[in-house]
Amino acid sequence: MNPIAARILRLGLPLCALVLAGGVLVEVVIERSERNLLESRQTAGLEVALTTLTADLASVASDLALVSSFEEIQPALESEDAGARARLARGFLTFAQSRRVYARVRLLSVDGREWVRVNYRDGWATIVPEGELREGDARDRGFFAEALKLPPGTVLVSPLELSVENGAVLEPPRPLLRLATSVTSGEGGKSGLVSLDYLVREVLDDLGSASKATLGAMLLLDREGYFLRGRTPDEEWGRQISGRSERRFGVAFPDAWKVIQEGLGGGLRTSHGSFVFRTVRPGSLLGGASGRNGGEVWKIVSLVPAGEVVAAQRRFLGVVAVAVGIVLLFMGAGLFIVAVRQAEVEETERRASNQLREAEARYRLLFERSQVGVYRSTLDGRLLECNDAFLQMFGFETREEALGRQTTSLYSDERDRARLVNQLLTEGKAVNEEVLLKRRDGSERWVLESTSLFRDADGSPSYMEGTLVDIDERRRAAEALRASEQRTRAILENMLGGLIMVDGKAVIEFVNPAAERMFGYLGAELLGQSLQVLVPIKPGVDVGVFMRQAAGKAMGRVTEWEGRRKNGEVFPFELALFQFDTPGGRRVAGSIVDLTERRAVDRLKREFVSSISHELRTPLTSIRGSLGLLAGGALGPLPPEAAEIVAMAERNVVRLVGLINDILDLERLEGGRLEMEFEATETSPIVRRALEAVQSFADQSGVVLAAEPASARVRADADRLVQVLVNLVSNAVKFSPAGGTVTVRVVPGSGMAEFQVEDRGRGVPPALREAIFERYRQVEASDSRRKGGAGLGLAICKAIVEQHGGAIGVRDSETTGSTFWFRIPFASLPRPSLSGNIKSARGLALLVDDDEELLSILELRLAQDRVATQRATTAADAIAAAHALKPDVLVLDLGLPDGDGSQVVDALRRDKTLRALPLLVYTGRDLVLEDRERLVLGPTRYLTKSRERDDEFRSIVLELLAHGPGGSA
Amino acid sequence: MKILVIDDEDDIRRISRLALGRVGGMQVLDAASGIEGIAKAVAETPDAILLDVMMPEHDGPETLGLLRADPRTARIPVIFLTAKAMAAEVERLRALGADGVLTKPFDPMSLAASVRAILGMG
Repeated sequence: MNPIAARILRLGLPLCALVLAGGVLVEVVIERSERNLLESRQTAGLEVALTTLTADLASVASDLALVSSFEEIQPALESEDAGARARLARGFLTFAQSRRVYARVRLLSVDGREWVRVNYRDGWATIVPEGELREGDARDRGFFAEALKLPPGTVLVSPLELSVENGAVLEPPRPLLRLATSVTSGEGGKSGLVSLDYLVREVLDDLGSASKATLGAMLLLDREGYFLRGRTPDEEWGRQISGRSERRFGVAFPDAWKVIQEGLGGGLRTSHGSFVFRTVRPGSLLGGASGRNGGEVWKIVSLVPAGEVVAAQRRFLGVVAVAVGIVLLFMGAGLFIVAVRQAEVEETERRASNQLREAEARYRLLFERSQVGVYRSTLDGRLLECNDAFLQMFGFETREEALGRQTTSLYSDERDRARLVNQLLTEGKAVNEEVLLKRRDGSERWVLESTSLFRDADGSPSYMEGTLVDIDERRRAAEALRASEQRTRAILENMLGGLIMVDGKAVIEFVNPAAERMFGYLGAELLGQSLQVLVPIKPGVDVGVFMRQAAGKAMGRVTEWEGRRKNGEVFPFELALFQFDTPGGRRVAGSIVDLTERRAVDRLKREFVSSISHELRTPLTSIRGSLGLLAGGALGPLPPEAAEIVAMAERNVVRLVGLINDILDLERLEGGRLEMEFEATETSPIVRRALEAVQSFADQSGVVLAAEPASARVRADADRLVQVLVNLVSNAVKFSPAGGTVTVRVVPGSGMAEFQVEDRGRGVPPALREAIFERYRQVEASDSRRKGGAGLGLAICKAIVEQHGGAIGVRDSETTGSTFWFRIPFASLPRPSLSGNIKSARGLALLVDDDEELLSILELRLAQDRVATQRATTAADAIAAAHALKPDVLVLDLGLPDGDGSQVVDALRRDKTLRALPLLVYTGRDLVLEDRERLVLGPTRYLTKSRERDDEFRSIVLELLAHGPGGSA
Repeated sequence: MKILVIDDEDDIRRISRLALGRVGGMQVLDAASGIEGIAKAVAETPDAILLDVMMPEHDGPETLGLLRADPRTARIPVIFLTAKAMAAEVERLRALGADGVLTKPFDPMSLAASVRAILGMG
C-alpha cells in the first residue's frame, strides 16, 4: 500500500473516531439542552394558556357579578310586574350585545323557571318573548338546584359542554360553560338565579394561540380524558358527539394518560412525545369570586409529538454534522500534508541513513578489499589491526600471525619507521613516504606509506594509522623505463646513422648527433626549425603536402634524397621513414645515412674495377695469345703431355677473360651504362642461337638439350637475351647429371613471354631462390670450386632481364630439379580497341598514373579534344604499353607503385623508336633542375599537379601532339 | 699480303707476328709507337694496319688521324685492337673512321681470319 495512504489511515482513523465521538457528544448535549428548552417552552406555553383561561373566567365571573347586581332583578322576581321584567330584559339585551360572548343571559326562579332570557346568536342579541320562556330540562334543573344551594355570591360553574337543543348537539358545536349564582332580596325575599351561558370558543381559541409560542398542540381535557380542545376539531367532544366516544386522550396516549390522570401537573416523555400538563379546577379560577364547579376538573396538556421533539432536539444535527465534516476535512488535509511531509522527511532520513550505511560498507570494503594496505598500531609499534591487503603485502597467511607483532620488524630498514614516527610526532602526519618493506619470506617491496597520528582526549598520542600502497612494480618499472630510456638515448646518440624526428608540420623535434654531424649543425640550432632547412622544399609548396608525398615515397622503405648541409653543400642521403603516435600527435622519424662517401666509394670501385679489368687485359692478351699459338700448333707440334698442359692453361685463361668480361658487364649493367638495342624480336632464333652456343659444352657433359620453342615477339636486345639464355642453359647443364636433359621452352603469358630452362639437377633450396641472383653467390660455396665461375652469371641475367622491364626467378620443376624462368614483355601488345573516333583522333596519349580516378578525369578532358588515350598504372605497364602502342605523347606521373617515373624515361630512352617521344611530366612533386635534366625524352614539358592553371594540362598535351613523334629529334 | 702491327707491347707484337705470319701466312711488319708506325707505313705501304688504341705519346686514334691526314697512308685500311670491349667503345672507334675493331685478348689462331673478314678478303 502507498506509504502515504497508510500513514494517513494510521493517524487518521483514531482522529476520525475522536472527532465523530466528539460530534456525537456535542449532539447529545445539544439534544438534551434542546429537550429541556422544549420542556420549558412547553411549560411556559402552559402558563400562558392557564393565565389566559384564568383571565377569561375571571372576567366572566365579574360579568356574572355585574348582571347579578342589576336593580331590576329583585322587582322582576318579586312582582308579577311585566314592566320590571321588560326593563331587566333590556338590561340583559344591552349586556349581551355589548359582551357578545354569552349565548344566554337568563334570570331564573328558584324553581328553575325562566323569568327573563336574552339569546345571543350570530352577532345579534334578542329578548325571548314571555311566551317562549320555558321550564329548564332535567339536567338544567339539577344544575340550578345545586346553584340555589350555594350561598349568594358564590358562582357555580357547569362542566364545559356543547350546547344542546332539543336533546341534540347544535351544529356547528357550541361549547358552553354555564355559570350561575343565586340572587336574593335583602330581607330573605324571593330568591332566584342569574345564569350566563358563556361561549367558550374564544377561550379555547385563546388556548390555542397560547400554544403558538411553543411547538405541538395545547390540549384541554376533561376528567375522563375527552378532548375539550384537541389537536383537530374532529377528535373533540367525544363525550357528547356520537361516534366519537373512543376519541379520548387515554386511548391515543395511554402511557401519558396514566400519569396525567393522576397527577396535578408536571411533564413526561413517552414514545409519543413530550407532555407537560396541569390540572385545573375551573371553579377555582373565578378570581376573587368564590366558585364552585361541582368537581369539574380539566387537564391542560401541552403536547409535542415525538417526531417534532426529535426534530427540535436535532435542530442542530446538520450543523454539528457539517461542523464535524469540516473538521474532518481540515483534519484530513492537515493529515495529508503532515503525512506527505513526514514521508519526505522519512525518505530523506532513509536515504541519508542508506548513504551512511553504504558509505560505511564502502569504507569497510575499501578497508578489507583495498589494494592499499591499512593498519593501526601503537606508537611503540604493536600492530593492532590490519586489512587483507596488508597481510598480502607482507605475505602473512593469517591475521593472527600479524597482529601483535612489532611493526619495526616490518621495515627493511628500521630507521624508516623511526623517521615516520618522528615526523608523526612533530607534524601529526607523514604523507607518501617511500619505504622498503621486509616481507615474511625476507623479500623486499617498495611501498608508499602515509600515516596519521591519533591522540587521546588529553592530547597524548594514542595510536597511529597507516596506509601502504604497493609501488614496487611501478618503481621497478620506472627504473626499467629509466634504464630503457638511457639505453635508447645511448643508442640514438652513438649510432652511426642519423635520426631526425618531426611533428605533423615538419617541425624538427629531435636530431641525434649523427644527423647533426651529417648536416653540420648543432642539435639545438635545428630544434623547432622546419625540415625545409635540411631538405630543400620548393618555395610555395605546402609543407603538409610535402610531408604526405615524402611519406608516400619513403615510408617503410629506403629511398634516396638530397639534403643541404649548413655550409650549403648538397649531398645525397638514404632515408627510411617510420611513423608512430605520441600523446602529442603523430610523429614522423627518418633514419638517415649519408651517401656521400658511399657514392665516392662506388665511383672509386667502378673506376677500379674498370681500370683493373683493362689493365688485366693486356697481360691476358699475351698469355692468351701465347697459349693459343702453342695449343694451336703454330709453333710446331708439342709433346702430348705438354699439349695437354698448354690446353689446360688456355682453357683457364679463356675462363679468366670471361670472368673479367662478366665483371665489367655487371658493373656497366648495374651502373646503367650498358646500352641495349630493343627491337621486336622473335623468340625462336634466340633460343636456337643460345642452344647452339651451349651445344658443345652439353655434349661434353653428356647432357641432352631439348627445345620446345613457341613463337612470340618480344621487345628485346636479342644478343643480350641470348646471353641470358646461354647463361641459364650452361648452368643447367653444369648442374645436370650426365645423361640428363635440359629443356628450354617459351610460354606466352599475359603481356609477357616466359622463357623456361628446366633441368634435372638437385634444385635450389627455397631459402636461396633470391640470393642466387645476387652477385658472387652460388647455391653452395663448394660449387664454385667444383663447377667453376665466380657466380656473376645470374646477377648479370637479372640485370639484363630487369632492363628489359621483365623479371627472373627460379622454381621447382614439375619432376625433379629446378626451372629457371624469365619474362620479357611482348613487342606488340594488341593495340587497344580504341573507339570509333580514333580515326578522327588527333593522336594517342599514354597516361601513366597510379591514381585511377585522376586517369578517368584526364581521359575525359582529352576526349574533348579528340585525343585517344590509353592508361597504365605501373612503370612496367607503362614501358610495355609504350613499346607496344607507340603513342604520340606520354603523360607521366613520377610516383608509381613499382618504381619511379624516371625508370620509365630511362627505359624508353634506350629504345630508338621512343627516344623522341613527346613527354609531359605531370606530377605532384616539385622538380629540381637535376630531376628535369634526367626526365627528358623528346619535347618535354613539366606540370605540377594542383598548381596548374585552368586547362593548362589540355593545352600542353595538344601542343606536344603538334610536335608529332620525334618532332624535335 | 702485308700487314703492319703498331703496338707498344713487345709481347703483343710478337704474338701478333706469329698469329698473322706463322698462322695467317701474312707478311708482318711491326712498330712500337705511332710515330714509328707512320714512318713504316709511309715506307712500306702495307695492305692493312692493326693499330693498338692505348699507347703512350700518340695513342691509336691520334695515330689514325695522322695516317688519314697523310695522302700516302690515307687509304690504308686500319683495324683497331682494343682492350675495351664495350659496344660504345666499338662504336666510337668506328666513328673515327676505322675499318674494323678487334678486341683483346684475341684468339691467335683466328686473328688473321678476323682481319681478312674485315677487309672483305675472307
